[in-house]
Amino acid sequence: MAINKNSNAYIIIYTVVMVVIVGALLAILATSLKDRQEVEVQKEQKFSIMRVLGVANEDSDKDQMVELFKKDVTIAWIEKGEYTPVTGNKAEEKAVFDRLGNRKELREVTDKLPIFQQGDTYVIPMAGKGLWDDIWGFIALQKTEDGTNYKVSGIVMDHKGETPGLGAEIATAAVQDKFIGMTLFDAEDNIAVQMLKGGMAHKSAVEGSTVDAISGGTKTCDGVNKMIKDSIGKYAAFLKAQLGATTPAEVEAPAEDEAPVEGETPAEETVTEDTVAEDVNVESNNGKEE
Amino acid sequence: MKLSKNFTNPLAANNPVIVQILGICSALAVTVQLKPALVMGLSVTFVCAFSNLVMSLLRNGVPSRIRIIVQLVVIATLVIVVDQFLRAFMFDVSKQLSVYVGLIITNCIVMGRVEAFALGNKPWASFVDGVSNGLGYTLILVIVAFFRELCGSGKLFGMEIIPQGAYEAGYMNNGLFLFPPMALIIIGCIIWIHRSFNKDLQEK
Repeated sequence: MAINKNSNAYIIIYTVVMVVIVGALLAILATSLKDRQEVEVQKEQKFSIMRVLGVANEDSDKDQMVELFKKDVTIAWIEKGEYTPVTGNKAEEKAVFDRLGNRKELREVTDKLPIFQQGDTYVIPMAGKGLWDDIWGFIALQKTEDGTNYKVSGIVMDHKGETPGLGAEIATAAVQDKFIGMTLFDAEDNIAVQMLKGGMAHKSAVEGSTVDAISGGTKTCDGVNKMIKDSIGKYAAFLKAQLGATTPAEVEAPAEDEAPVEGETPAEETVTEDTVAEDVNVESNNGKEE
Repeated sequence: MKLSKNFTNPLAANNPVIVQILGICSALAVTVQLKPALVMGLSVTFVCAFSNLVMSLLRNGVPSRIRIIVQLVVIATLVIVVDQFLRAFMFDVSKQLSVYVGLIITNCIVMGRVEAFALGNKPWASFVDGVSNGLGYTLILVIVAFFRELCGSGKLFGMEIIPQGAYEAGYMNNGLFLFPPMALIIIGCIIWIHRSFNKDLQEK
């Protein structure tokens, strides 16, 4: 008897067999490629960290940078204020990068924090919400010359769905470079780095810590501010402990102005700082909201 | 139809993009640079060829009432295979293509060829048909991407082509080429040139 290909039984059996075969195939494929894909994602993150440290730029060779990362950068956890390097420990290293890949966890977990260190510079992963969706990135904080405060030595940010041309500008070097040289803590030991409409002209602007916001991207900039505050906030106790005893008086802005003159900061940075100051004065925010 | 004709036809006289006007959407999206355009084209070629092959092999057993769903499952599976491989071995390109790899599933060329050709033809002929339609698509993508990358960013495959001296002399990249409308204009120009050589395609 010929099989009736339009009978319900045939169709159901056909469907079930097809789904099982396809499902098994895809499961095998996904499992066998998983390791390889994770390596790629890790590479990407290491590359971002090298970029925020100012070692790499967008055109640098990725593999070379990953090698340098291995040599120069310490991967660590901060658990209850305790700094535990895990470089070399494969399982723990993987745990750190898994955390970076899970932005929700990165935002919410407060007791075990991933951090990267190169010399006197710490790289802190950030995650937050922009206007429409997730924003994330890394920020590099370098001790100031007098060891009483931190300066932003680099920031990279990316986003999932901010408005192109407005909020999405946070992913561009033009915006990110404005952060370089900003002082982290203000006189009251609060995290002061933020983007404000009109830059220094804003009423709550702090000298040396305020970056001009993006016209038309105010909500995204608010998201960036919150991301910086929340993400670094979790590390604040650790960061302050590294500075030793900080008194508010020592932390004030002039320290940051003197730093470049003393010559140890790279010349590049001095230049950027000057441009930032100019930007702040020249640019005005039209107050358009997204 | 002879096999050789079967192969060359979709490349020019019956090109899926400029004659059948299929797959335009992705042709606008992934043609800013040559490399993603090429990878996208080859991915579509792979999916098109193998979905044709698989569906042609299954054509006598597929219940006609659920054939569209079966086609979708086969195409979707192949697209996931491509996506997973890109993620593992060409991470940067996969990042650039982002959602468009997943959207190959909805590329009309793939399903159109399965429905119109593979269900009524032998496996080998179907495979060839898939390959040539995919290559026809790739060809247009590469032509469009060539102009967009060259005029829009002065590069080809990411290498600087326009000498630095030209910029110093006042030459500027044309930003319009980076936007999707320019892809549509370039495709329009290709269709125009193509039709002026193929008189039988011209509408009276």
